[in-house]
Amino acid sequence: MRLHIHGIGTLSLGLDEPFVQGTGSLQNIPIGDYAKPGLRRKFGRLAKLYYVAAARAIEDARIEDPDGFAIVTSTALGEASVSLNIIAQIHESRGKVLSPRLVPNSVHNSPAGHLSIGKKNHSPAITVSQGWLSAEAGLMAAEDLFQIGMAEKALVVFGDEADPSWSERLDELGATPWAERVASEAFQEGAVALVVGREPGGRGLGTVSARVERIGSQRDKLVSVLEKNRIHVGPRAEIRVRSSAGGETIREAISRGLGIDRSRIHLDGPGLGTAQAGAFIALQECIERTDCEELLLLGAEMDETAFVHWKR
Amino acid sequence: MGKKRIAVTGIGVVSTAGRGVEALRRGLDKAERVFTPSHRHDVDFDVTVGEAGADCFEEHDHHELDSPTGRLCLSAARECISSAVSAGSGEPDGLVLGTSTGGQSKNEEAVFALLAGDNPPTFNYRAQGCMAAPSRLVSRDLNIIGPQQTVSTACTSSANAIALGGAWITGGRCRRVLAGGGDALCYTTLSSFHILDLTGPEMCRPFGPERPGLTLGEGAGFLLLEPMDDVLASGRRPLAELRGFGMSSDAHHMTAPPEDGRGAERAIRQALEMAEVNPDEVTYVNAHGTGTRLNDAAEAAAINRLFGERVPVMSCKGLVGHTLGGAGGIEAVASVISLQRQHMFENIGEFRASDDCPVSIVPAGGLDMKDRSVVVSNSFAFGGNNCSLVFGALQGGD
Repeated sequence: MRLHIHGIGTLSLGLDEPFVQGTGSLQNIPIGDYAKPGLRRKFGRLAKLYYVAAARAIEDARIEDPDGFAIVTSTALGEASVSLNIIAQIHESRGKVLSPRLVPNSVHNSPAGHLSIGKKNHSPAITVSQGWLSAEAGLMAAEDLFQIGMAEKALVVFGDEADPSWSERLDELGATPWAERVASEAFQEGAVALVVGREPGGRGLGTVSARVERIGSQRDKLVSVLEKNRIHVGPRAEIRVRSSAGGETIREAISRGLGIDRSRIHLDGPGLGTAQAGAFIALQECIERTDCEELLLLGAEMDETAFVHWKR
Repeated sequence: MGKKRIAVTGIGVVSTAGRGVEALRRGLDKAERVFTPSHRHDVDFDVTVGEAGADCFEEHDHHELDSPTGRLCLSAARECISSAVSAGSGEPDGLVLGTSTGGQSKNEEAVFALLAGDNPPTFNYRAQGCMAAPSRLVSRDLNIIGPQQTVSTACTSSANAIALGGAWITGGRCRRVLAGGGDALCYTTLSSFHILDLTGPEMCRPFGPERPGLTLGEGAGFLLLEPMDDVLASGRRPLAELRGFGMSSDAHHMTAPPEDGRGAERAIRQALEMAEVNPDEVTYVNAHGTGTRLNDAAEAAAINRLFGERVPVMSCKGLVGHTLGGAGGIEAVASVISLQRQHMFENIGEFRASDDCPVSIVPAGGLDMKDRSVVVSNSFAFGGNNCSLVFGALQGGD
């Protein structure tokens, strides 16, 4: 089944504010522009990121019916700072959490819950978490909802958070230095939201016009997955690869396997947060260029590979 | 669903009732509750829990992927696959695993050590701490090469995983999907439910007039799903049919349902529509039935509007406790067992419905069922997330 993109919204370093080496964190989350105080004071940090990106995507897709879309959120870390705060409180108080307000935000689907409440959306809501391949997992879940007729459109939001107060505390405690993690994981805090539909968005809807040709994942090596799934691309395709290992070897293998020039293969590092979704942001750029007709996103983590193949 | 039917060809489960399907069946039959104070977690408050026995935490060779939730899931998954394969199914080619806590126990160990100024244990967040850790353990141990997905929607996680697994069958993504999930108890869970005042030293009494709160449990439950046509064509006899599923959001509150249970009702209605089943064809409801004041009343309101008091209602949580992300999987296994035995199990812990729960409770000793029985299995969660599954006995022509 094909997914058609109706709208996109982002909250990201590099777009909303400049990337500061070493932190990976946003300085400002403009949640006040999108959610009333009574609503937003209940949000965790990840929910704020998701809410901003989602509001921008919904506006972009010009969706008016609050129940007109299912919600799919995907995250590797969830509300990480809430989770860390809870563990710290348990440690400090012999097994007790001291702040009941933390608890609702400790589950991975809390941003989806806040979205459904804030948008008055009663449709299905799914949260998936497949490590560093969570973005692809989210799109796959949206496709599944379409497949069984549970939704005609879906708001798919992915990304991850990095609360600076916690990264500093982890540094103080002697964990692996945060800046090192940011660099090695190509981590950038933020969120990307896509409104996708079973059918094309229609004339004038959304700033993005593209479709997902295929989505999938497999527990196998990257090049082998391309072969087994018979993925083919044209000479004007662009390929972006997120992987912590392989580097030039992977570029060479993909180039050979797909018969495409090496210069069209970009290695993005493992990628988390909006770095994992950086390639989705690149979709917009690709569409605006005349020399890019399709985009193949490949993600590899441990021995799993996920792919999303976009076309104009 | 375009009427591509989904067969259930394998089941596996672990819980405080013991290791394996037979232990759960025996527990539901005998209604012997084995809740105790927490043994594994040193907490400074009184809490009664349903801990799984040591034999429920499966041994394995993938030490780099180890976590308590992963071990529980692996135990149930191995049983599910071995029973299905020995009955003629092939190996699974896809995995959808639901969990609320994933590798949180491992995160706790590592952060506790850091906070205490100790050297943290050898720990790899990607392999052991993240939500996908259990699915990675299960997929590697069972050599599942195809797609895998981790669903984390709190207490609906494994019910939603089974629904997505069903979608993988009807959509053709896979031909044999292992779907379900689990959760092990951890400090985060125990402490969080305690501070919300949802647990206590007394055992749960689903739908009863005196509801002291929920009893936390731990465990895992899995189904093997295949296209019904494949199964029947190969001359095999499925255990049951997954006939439909429904999902909805309350859009109301993060931890409390609307009093009238309208979100739950929406999910049940959707599941019945997909199953092409009228409410009066439903044999019984395997309720979410946590034993909390608000949840039981809201669920009862939804059930009453859909079925009146004609359809008997039971909750497995009186036996196994609330296993959070594992609840939907364990209750799906219990539903399949009851369809096979043509017997609905009693509502363990309570036989008298509260005035604010206008439902008919399955009495002591349970009730026998007829052919063509249909079970609705409910799961609801934080975030206002609802999922209902509809299982059916095989029909005469199958």
